[in-house]
Amino acid sequence: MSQTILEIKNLYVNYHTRQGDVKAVSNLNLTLDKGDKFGLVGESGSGKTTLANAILRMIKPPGYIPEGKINLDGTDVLSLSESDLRKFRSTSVAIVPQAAMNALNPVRRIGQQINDAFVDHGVKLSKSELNDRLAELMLTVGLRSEVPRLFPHELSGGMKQRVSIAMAVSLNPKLIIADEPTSALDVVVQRQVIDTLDQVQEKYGSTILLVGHDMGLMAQFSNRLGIMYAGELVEIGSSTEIFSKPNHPYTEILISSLPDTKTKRKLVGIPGLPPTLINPPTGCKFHPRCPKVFEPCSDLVPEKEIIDEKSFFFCHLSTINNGKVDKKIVGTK
Amino acid sequence: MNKSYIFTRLTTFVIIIWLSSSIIFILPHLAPGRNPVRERIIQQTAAGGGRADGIELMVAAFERDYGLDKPIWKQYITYMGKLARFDLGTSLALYPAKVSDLIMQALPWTIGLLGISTIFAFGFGSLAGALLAWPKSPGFVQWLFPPLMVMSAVPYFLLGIFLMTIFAFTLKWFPIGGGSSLTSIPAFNFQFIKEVLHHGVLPGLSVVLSGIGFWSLSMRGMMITVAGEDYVNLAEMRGLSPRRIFFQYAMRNAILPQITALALALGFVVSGLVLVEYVFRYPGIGSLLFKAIAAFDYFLIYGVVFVLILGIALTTLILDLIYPILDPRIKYERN
Repeated sequence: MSQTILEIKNLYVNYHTRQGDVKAVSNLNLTLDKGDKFGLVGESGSGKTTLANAILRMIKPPGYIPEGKINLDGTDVLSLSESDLRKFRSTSVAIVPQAAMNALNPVRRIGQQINDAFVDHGVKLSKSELNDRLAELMLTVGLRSEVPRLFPHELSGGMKQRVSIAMAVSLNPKLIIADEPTSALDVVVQRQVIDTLDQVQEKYGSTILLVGHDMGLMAQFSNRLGIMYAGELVEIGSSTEIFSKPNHPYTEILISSLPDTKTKRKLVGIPGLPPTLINPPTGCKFHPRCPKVFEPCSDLVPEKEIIDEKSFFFCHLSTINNGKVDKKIVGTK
Repeated sequence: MNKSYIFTRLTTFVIIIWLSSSIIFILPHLAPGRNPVRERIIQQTAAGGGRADGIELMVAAFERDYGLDKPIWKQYITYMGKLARFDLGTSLALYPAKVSDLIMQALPWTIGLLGISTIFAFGFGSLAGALLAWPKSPGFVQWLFPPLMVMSAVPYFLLGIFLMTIFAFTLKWFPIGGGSSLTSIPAFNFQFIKEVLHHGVLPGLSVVLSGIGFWSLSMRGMMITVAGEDYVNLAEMRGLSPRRIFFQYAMRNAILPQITALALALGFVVSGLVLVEYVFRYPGIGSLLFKAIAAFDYFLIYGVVFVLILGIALTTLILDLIYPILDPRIKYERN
């Protein structure tokens, strides 16, 4: 049995607004094992980044966590004191940010910025030790050794993203959260960045939570996938299983909307728009857009359907005919 | 920084000085058909009740002395030549004192008082403004905001009169005016320095207090923008110390535009703050300018304006030269 690194139980995250609370994450359960490369997929606004921020306890007002538990390698994240929380960041969990373009302080050299985390986490390094450490980090993420002496504006977007990966691994955290690390990069650099994450994971044995909406990239990188919709995890399973046999209609549409380079066909999208999370749809939150919607969907919240210990989904379809749907009862919206 | 940039920048500096002093030279000549010498002599003759017989002769004599009978381009060359030697002519109101001597006497007072208090105001104001905008500042900091608003709105000379009434007139803690007591002899000794500082407190304080309001409000705006930047957010996610994030990540970036404003403010310092110096009878450039304007002392006014131009050109020159150190994104290289 592999070691559990991250355990999230019944997590809720709300954002307070005048119209009512936006339930950005609701009733979320997730367990990551050591060495997992977990891909978290979902549309914009489905709560992926909110979840990532919650793990780092970076939810700021008007956001708040009404209930839930986050346990990271034996630490109860939500009950840490401010100063423990500060030391916990970088050493236990680190983030590779979404927009690396602006994620680096423009007036400080790369090396200084990496070193700031060492100094502030009580790691005392002599000048030569620091240089060795920086050189090693640069080698790991595939950057030239003079990069620490440069300023952020002297680097390209891909190089900045690699620097932020180097920052994330610098204190060897148990969990690295990569929050859409490739969103602003072109496909060639995307691939390089993902490969770098892969190498880092191999070298340090860290657990990686990759957040994104690029199913292709996810398939390439992760061994497990979680599909988020409207603040909920609707399906979790191993990447190969999910791609070969998706259980949730939403997952199915996500995969079928991937463009195919071999055959020329019309791109398929998902009809409708993501629901407002102030007043989410009743029953299954996906039912207004679901092509396989039928009787119970609009009223009843689907039960958790367990496939095995690490795979489950939430959908009423499984209750009839074990997922094989009789076309007659399926209405189309 | 490369040498060619420094050379270009120094050339620009000289050109700025040359252009602006040329404008000073040309402006009076744009008023058509007026002869200041004749006007002054007629005025004085009339006031003295004397006869007008020799006026034309006198005018011609004075014009010869001042070189006004020469063609304008020759006058211009003489003017520029004198300026290059910092010869700003002779004061009319305080005849026969030389303008350059008067300015050199007043300048140290003004630079000492206003330079130091401007820097203090900048330092305290920027820090206060940064704290006001910082989400993690303790709650009581917000109480600073209304008084700072008020201080930035109240003119500094009113603040000066207010301070004078309380601390000099009523409490008698500080002298009511002047740069030092009338009886003391300027010398570089402890006694005199102490006296100068004692006299400088109230005028300095009025400049500092009103300046803090100004600097803090502009810093606050800048800091709000920077506090929302991704790099500040990431610094927090990386668990860096709050003090480091505040100073090295947020304030360090927010202060850059402030420094440009500071350089300009320091440039204007040499023109003195007329009203503060007048209220406190401070022997600086401001008082000198006030006297000059009151007495229509054109040469003295030109002199002060010239010093002001020098001051601004010099501080912007220094700013441009140190800016690449402050902001590494600025580079002066042409490839």
